[in-house]
Amino acid sequence: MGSEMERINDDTLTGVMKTLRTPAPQGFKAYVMASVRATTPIRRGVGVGRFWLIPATGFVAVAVAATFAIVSSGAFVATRTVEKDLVVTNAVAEETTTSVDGSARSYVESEDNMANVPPEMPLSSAPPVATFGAANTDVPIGGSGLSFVSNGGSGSGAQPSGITSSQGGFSLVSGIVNQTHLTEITDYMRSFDSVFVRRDGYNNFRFDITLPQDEVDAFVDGVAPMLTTLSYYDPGTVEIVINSR
Amino acid sequence: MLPVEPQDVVKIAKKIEKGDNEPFAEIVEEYQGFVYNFSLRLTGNRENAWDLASEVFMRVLSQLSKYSPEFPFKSWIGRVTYTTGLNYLRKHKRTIQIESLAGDVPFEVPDDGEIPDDVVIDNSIRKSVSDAIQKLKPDFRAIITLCDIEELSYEDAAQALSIPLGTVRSRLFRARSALKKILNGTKQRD
Repeated sequence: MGSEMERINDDTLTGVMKTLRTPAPQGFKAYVMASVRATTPIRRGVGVGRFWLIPATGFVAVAVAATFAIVSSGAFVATRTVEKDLVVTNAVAEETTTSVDGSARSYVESEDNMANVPPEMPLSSAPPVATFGAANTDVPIGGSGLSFVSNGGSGSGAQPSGITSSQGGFSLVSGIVNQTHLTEITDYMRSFDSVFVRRDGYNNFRFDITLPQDEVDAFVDGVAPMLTTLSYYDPGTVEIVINSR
Repeated sequence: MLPVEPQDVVKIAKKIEKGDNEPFAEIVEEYQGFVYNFSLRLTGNRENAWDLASEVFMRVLSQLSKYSPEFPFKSWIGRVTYTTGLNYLRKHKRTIQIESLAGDVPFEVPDDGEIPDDVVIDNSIRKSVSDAIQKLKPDFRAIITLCDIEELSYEDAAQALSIPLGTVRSRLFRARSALKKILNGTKQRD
């Protein structure tokens, strides 16, 4: 490189640098404006779910500690999964933040939600709040068109209280991913118009997406395969809050 | 679309205060290239640049009412980008990976069946210069981006970086010197 660069004088260097101006990628403006529009429902308050890897006696278990914050009375937040590796919980809270993992951990919804999540997620020994297999029953959530699995959970602080019919509402799909799947999810999410993404300082991502009700199931089907990878190596968590309209 | 003047920004800010965020699209339209390019140079990575640039616009949205029209809006949004970018770099320093950015820049190659030598050289030089910029310290990358790539005036760059005019000149000189050392295979000492 040195011999080649010797041919560059200051004027050439200045000229070359002027050609390095990079345009914004296609779709960036739409992405930003979707984020702007998505800001309002996000600030209204949604739930935060967390999944941990628990290496124990030679198998991997998925545990979830979920906190639900409800701003408007009567609204609900649901955490659901679509594959057996994912965890489904639903809860109705009453304008409070309820810790359901029995550890008195409480995350409060704020403008910068992920900032409130502790940076170091412990490998908890707490039992999963709720895990589901094929035996569970899909239950439709009123108004959202989602199929949904309900379970009482086993965490000492778990307070699932059934499903409350609601106009609209939020659903939360979460899972543990590796880097490859995270990239896939990111690309997938970018193909939608109304997506807002947040990330804490580590590998924990949260996407907020607004979809017409009749597109929610197709969206979930699309993203589900990317959320089912368990990895000991540098795993990250992904939460996708679906705001159906 | 007409350029967004400082007074336009003030009007947009007032609409946003009243709950109408749609006019913000004008600001995004006009400054997305600048913010993304600055973000790209600060992070050295397309994925992180997208992430940072979108974070910048969300911050601009929330801070727009604080903008004073006596200053050029480009330097104001440049300052938001720079401060947000430095925080972003601190936060993500363990995970950000530098990648070659030369491919991001559109470059016209004559479509006559043959590629002239000077075009090949230019492409090679552009890649070398682009990669060399990414090896600079963040404050050097910033001053090079603002003054040499985005061609801001020294005054606007000073406002964007919150440094005196004299510091802009001296920092730019040192940044260019460091860049040339890298291009000549000399390790950056700064």
